[in-house]
Amino acid sequence: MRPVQSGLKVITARRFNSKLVITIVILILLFLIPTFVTSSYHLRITINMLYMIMLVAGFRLALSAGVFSMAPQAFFGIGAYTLALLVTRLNWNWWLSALLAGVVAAACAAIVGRILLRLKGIFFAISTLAFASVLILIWKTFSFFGGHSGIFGIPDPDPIFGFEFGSLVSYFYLALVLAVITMLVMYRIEKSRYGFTLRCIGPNADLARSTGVNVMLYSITAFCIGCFFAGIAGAFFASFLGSIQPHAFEFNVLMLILLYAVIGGVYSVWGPIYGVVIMTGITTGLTYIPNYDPKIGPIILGVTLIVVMMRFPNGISFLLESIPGWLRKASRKKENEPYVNTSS
Amino acid sequence: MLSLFFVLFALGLSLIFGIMRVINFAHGEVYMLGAYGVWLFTDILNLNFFLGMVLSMLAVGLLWVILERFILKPFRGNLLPTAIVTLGLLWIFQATMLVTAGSENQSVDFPQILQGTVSLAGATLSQERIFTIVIGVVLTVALLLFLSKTKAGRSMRAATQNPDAARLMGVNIDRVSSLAIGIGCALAAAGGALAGGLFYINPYMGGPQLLTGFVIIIIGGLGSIPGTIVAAFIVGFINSIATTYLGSNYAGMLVFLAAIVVLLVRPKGLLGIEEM
Repeated sequence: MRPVQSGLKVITARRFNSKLVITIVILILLFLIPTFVTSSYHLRITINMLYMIMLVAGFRLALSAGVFSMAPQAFFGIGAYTLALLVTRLNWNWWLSALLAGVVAAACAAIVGRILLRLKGIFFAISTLAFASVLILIWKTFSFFGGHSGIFGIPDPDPIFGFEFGSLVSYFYLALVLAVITMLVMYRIEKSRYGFTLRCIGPNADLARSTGVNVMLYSITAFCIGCFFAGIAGAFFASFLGSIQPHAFEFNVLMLILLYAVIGGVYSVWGPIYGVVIMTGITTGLTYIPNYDPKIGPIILGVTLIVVMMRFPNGISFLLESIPGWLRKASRKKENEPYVNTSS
Repeated sequence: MLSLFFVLFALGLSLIFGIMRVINFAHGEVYMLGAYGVWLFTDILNLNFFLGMVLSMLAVGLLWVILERFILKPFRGNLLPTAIVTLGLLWIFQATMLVTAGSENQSVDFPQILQGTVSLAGATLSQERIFTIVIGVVLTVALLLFLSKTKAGRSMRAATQNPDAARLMGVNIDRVSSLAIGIGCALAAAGGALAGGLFYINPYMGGPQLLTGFVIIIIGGLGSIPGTIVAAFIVGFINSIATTYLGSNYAGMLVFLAAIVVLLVRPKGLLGIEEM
């Protein structure tokens, strides 16, 4: 009995470790990116990908509970403006302001959600779009928010643990840490009872309500958590660019978020990563084609979007995550059925 | 005047939503394509303006009937996928026009007969504007008559109210959907064509129209044709008056806030059919 038991223990231990080891290896590889990617152009693209992942992950969390908000770009903007105002006008500590940016975005989401979540589906979607439009007009109109020209001279984050910010590489590490934290939180939520309830509300809110779930509470909290990360991403974005203008938070940001979320797949926690990485890869890769006209880019994006929607409505993540299953099936078939040549 | 553009634009959006439960994000691009259609037929092919406008409406309508058959049909009634697919179409059309026609502003001239001004009850109006108003009113009335008097129009209204019941009564939903998207897009194209005659044409002209169109169909009630017309006039008036007295930014804010308030007080809109 003894050897068998110890053997089992070894197997389970190895399994647990293999998952952990893979995660650690991926994280180390991610932290080594600046040593491979030396051109500032590519590093900039990588940083853009990282904060887009935060935005899309937040959007996906709310969507998994059936909250189709069309205002993630507005909460991104709220975060950016909160940080910019606190840091430039009141000279607050950057980290405190960034945290507050997330909190303010989440608080706004709570208010908006409480008022608008009475509406369902398309009505909620369009009313959040109207909210986003009002907000952009407010930023454009009032001089408190800098008007059309926005806010300038947003400083780099304050040094922390002797780590100075300012270079592109330091911004990369900040974005990476933020994105990793976001994805860890999203993963924890997905695996928790809370995430399970959210996924139950998504397809049929009435059924969930009939089993005693407080749908409103769950929807609002999911919306708030998503917007909290959008706000943090906005705070990072404001400092990264050094200045913000209202038009950086308009409809086209929403279109990108939707594109990434859907291409990646809205039913998977990792969907946002797949979506952002694959679509950024395609758009960046295209620019290497000789005589490439950047105006054609949107046509290719549009066609990709429609083809993916028609062939894989669940997105790329569904495709990627079903590959291990296929492999297992294929190998099992090989074991069970001896190869028979039917053509002869 | 402005209201009539809104009517032509939003009627299509409303028809398409009512029958197919599809929110067409590319509707602004339909408007833009209509304007470019007229530009193509009159400025490049030197056809008559009226003929160009009719051809443009037909071409755009037909294009969208085909698109509906092959691209939108599988997703009918499904909110997120249709939003995404029409978003893809938006990108495709915008970029196509950017590549083929360039980003610079184009303009179409109204025919000679319509240039000049008339005095009407003390106010001076340009004939172009009167022509635009007349065409807008004629098209709207024609649509209302079509919906109330013909069999096809009645089956469209039936499909709006309850698609399943309509199907049970022998209404061919596929055919009605094609008809709705054809008519809806032809109307938006007509709006674009008229706008092309009065303002400039560029690949991005559809964007602001789309947001206003959403607000109008929300205020009027999704899928309700009379509601859409009433709401288009309300939004048009708020827009004109607020722009004159407060500035365009405040006008936009007022219009969007009005939409949110209407939704909260009366979620199905002013004359809405049902709440979804």
